[in-house]
Amino acid sequence: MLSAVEIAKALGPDAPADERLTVVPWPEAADLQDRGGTSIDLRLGRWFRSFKQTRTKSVSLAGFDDATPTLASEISRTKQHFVPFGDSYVLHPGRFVLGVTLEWLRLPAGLSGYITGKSSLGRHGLVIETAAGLHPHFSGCLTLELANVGEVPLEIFPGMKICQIFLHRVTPSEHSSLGTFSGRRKPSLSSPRADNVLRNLRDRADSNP
Amino acid sequence: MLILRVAAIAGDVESEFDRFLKDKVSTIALAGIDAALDRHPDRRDALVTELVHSGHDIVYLQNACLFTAMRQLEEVFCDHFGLGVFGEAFLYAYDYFLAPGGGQRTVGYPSARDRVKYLVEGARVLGIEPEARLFSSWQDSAPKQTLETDVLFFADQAVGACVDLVRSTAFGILRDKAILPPDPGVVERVEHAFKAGVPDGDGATLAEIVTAGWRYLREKGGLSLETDLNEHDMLCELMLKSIEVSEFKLRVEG
Repeated sequence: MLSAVEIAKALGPDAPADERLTVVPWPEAADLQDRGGTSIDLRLGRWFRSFKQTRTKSVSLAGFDDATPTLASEISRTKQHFVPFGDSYVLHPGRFVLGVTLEWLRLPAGLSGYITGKSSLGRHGLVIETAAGLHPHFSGCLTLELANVGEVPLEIFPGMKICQIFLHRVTPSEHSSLGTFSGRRKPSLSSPRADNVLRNLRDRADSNP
Repeated sequence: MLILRVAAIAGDVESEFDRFLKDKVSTIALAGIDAALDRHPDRRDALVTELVHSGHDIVYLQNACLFTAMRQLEEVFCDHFGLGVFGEAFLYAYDYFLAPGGGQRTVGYPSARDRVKYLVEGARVLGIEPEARLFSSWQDSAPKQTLETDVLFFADQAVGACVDLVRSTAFGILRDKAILPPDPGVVERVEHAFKAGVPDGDGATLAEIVTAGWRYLREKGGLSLETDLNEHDMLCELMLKSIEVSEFKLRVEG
């Protein structure tokens, strides 16, 4: 895991271009060093995507192949919100919303990481992230899965420190794909990819009792 | 943000433009029309003879030319205002939306080629040398009716006589309000960030971010193929994120 000094070095202008970690806007370098921690705090962005209350009985997460036009219908189940700096989004108990980091990250080939919540927020019932992996070459704003598991409504403000990322060194590979969720500045929603194993299990369930 | 500063002076610009139109341009435009009429006595006399048949005289012709010239100059003023705010990005956007010119000309606008010529001259005044290929394939627009053709013939010469004054007034208003064209150094920095796949993090004006985006797009040949869709979307996201980061910095750092 990278220390504060190593993170600051990876962010600095002296880092080789292919090894440079980019965080825009830059975290306060002095704050990073002073805390002496091993993570970078990230702030909450201004875009949210909530799920509409619908009469749909359920939503299948079995995964879709390329022939299935799913994204439009998935997005139609949600509603996008823009909250200006200075205003707040109220997350009620038991509700879930997608948020996004204010910062745009780009990880070099030799770094991966994971994102976690902040204990100071978690103790109020705010759960930040469940799909925590950050892969090398990722470039974009991170979608946050925000849930209020507490008992009172919580006000969250764009610009507040909302989560933190920890970073690890990995052996760089030839693979340089940006990944499904790269290149986004708003919360992104995607259906699970088609899984042939699961498809076979489902298709053949009746024929092999 | 630049856009807010421009919006804030909109009222000043409007009143300045009204005063400017009434006090200076109409006088010069009218003198230009008279000079044009005198330079072409045969065409003028033929036109007046035709007008007499319908109960009009040369004053009617002068007024028609002045009306047309003033409307054209309003467009020229707006073009230069946009050019002064957005610099070369305005040229790229103009070409993107209106190319290749041509078509039927209306009396309220300079011809397609004249309008582009005024813009290119204005760009050079600002120290911007447009790409050689920009506007190279533009066609001219032509008026439909005979009378419009004659009115525009004289009005265009009056417009040509007023363009320098309109241009310097538009640029002067922006300069007085400390709204300057994009800084080339900042544009280069922002473009460099885009090429690295990240937004700009140091703060730039809207015009500088838009200019950097246009440069990137043009260098890539427009990114209009289906295979370019991801890169095109990424560029849009990087530009919009750069704007958001600039706003964030402006609010945090004052």
